[in-house]
Amino acid sequence: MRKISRFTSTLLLLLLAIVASFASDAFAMEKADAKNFDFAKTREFFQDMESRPDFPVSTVLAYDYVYSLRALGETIEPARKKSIIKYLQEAQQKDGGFIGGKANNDASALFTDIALDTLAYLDNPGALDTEAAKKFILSLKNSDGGFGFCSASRESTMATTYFAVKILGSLNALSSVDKAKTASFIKGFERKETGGFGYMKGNGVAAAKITYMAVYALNELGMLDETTRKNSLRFLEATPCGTKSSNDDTPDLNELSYALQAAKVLTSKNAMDDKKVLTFLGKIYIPVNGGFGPLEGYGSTPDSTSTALRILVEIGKLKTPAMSPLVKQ
Amino acid sequence: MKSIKNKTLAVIASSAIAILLFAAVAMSATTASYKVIARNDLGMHCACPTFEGFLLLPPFNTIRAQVLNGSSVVSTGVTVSYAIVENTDAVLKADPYYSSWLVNSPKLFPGFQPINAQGKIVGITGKMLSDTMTYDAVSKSYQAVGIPAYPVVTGTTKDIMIDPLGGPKRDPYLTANITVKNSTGTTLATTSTTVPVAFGGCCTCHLPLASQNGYPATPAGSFAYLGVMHAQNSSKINIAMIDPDGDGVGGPVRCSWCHWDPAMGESAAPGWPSATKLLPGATFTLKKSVYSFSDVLHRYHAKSQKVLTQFDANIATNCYDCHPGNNVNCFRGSHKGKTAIWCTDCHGNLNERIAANQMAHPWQQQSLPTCFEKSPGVNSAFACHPHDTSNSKSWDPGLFGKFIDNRGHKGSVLCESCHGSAHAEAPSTLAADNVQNSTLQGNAAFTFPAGKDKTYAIGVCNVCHTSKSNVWARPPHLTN
Repeated sequence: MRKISRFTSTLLLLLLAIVASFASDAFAMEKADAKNFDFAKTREFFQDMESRPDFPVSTVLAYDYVYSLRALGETIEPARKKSIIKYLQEAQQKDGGFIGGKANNDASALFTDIALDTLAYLDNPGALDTEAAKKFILSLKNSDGGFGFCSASRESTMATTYFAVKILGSLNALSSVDKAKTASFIKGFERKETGGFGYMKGNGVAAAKITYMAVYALNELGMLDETTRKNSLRFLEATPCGTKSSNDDTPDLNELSYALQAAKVLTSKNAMDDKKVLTFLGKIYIPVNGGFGPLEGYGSTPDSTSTALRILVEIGKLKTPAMSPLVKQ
Repeated sequence: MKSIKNKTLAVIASSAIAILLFAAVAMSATTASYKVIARNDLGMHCACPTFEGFLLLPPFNTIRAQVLNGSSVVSTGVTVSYAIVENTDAVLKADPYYSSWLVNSPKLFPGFQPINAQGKIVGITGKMLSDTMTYDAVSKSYQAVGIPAYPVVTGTTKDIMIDPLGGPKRDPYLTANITVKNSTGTTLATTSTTVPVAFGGCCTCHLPLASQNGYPATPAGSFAYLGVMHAQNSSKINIAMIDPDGDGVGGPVRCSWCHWDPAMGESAAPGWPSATKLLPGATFTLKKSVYSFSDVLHRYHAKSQKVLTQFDANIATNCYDCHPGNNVNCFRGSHKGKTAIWCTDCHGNLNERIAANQMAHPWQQQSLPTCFEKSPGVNSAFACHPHDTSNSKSWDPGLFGKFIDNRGHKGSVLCESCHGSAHAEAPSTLAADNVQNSTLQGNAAFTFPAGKDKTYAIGVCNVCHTSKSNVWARPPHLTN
């Protein structure tokens, strides 16, 4: 009798475990659904910024606000649009470049890229002096084929070269670039063993962000060859949320966003696992305010929420917001 | 005769009972009239998970307790003690991260031993995890300065802090039990307060940074690469090639040896320990910097191309990239709860702080906000509290601002005693911070206006006074 009882209880426990396992899977499935995100709250999360007298606060936050609301299908109210354009106009320096915040006068390729993207999403291309921006970026060109960060920091890096190529591409000014030389500079960051690109020439592991920057720039220059494409995809597939990644790998929000963007440049639909991506987003979603944190367990910030929305755009759960050309094509 | 004797005994007995009852009532009244309010000074102290490479700050927490007897601040005749509930000697000695401190702290603070002759863990000021507090006439409070509190794994729901090295979550909001006793050992008053100590976000970027540059994604790898990066600045010093204890291995390096830090009690860089050597291959010479640690750290991160392009273009306003935000959210007080105020609205974003040269006076009144003024150079979106020149009785010990180092209410009560710790002002968004005020103002006879409750700053007169008012209101803040 006791044996039967023990057997029965063991069986019950097993059944419970199976049910719990199904329930857990069902929960994970439920989590892995963009419908579980309350985008109305996400919208309010960004619209909270509007009450600040110093709106939009900084160049990055202006971008976060515009991109996120556009990704959520909103149009930017004329008054807000005016404030943002006024802010961006003031952020453009005499040398044509843009600064990140009012107290920092060092214009850089980074903030110029963010400012111009913001303008493109605002659908108001004539509002800024794009010719001056082009001159600023060209002033950062180096003899190694790369571009520098700002006038005080002229060393060529992969990231700053990406900003330059992207900006010059959007301004129809790539004819000013020695494409072969710049592509050769970029390829110096490639990691042959693992695929992908690293931040430093020769040393260090590849990263999704820099891989995206490299393949984007090579593609823009018309220099993305099939070997580089395949090697980069091999790297992306092994990143967290990649189709060949381990389930134990913990994604990094920014890295994930760039991995998805890189996969799009490489025209691959099989490198990343959308279900894993949604499961991760479910873990960093903050229901109380509709935002997303940068890591699991962290609070939401405009930057991380904007990045999460970008990810949802990349996997087709939100519509890609339209960007207007900065100059006549 | 027997009856007389019995009567006498009965009288004596009843008299004795009466005396005892009277004494008990008197004692009860005396005991009940004592109150103790204790607060952590800063609202958060930082800690690191490892001490092998370099030290930002040591385990160091400070509690200040004001003992009140009716309307009097008690300065003598009592013993005030504290005990950190979650930190015992056994727990910390078994903790792998704290063990790193036990091994390395004598190298970082030559002459210091983290375990005393009795086998007890002590902080760099000699304070234990359970110890007495000393009366400080300037702040009119009993203080325990330099308690070696450290975030630990408790196995409870209090374990909320992410471990950047991948270990289990830890409890960053510890508890201190405070006890006030008279000379005969009778407990007069008790309270509990939050002892906040947490890891920042540094490792979240620095470990991947190391691996992106060809070093292991470990604290050791990060230290080695940090040395390489440091050697790229004007000092040319590779900090990973400095061997302060002469054991042939780089580190541990105390940042404030070279970059003075008021949080370490310094107003100038003290320089390197006499045993310091350089590892073979080092080509630089050791020197001291005139720049504060706060200055070089903030300035570098705000301006660095590497930081901005690889990690966070918005680091100027994302304070939690470095300060404890990893599910700890150290900025948690009423300012956060009621409005959209962010750190930068009071302190300024990094670019504003640099432009205003705030970090020439870090951690000090010159650069810190008050209730009435933002920090210099801040373009805040919010107005401060109306200025009241008469409600300040501050002093300047060269550390912290005029909220922490200030008394109001006729100059008797620390601002923090009623309002809560800086960054955790009542009512805090962290429930644990509100327990003390809720207890003190938890009398059923106390009433609160609409929108206020017992978690708010102490505002009921009869919390301390007798027969004044049971209604919560703004008490006099005046000095005189």
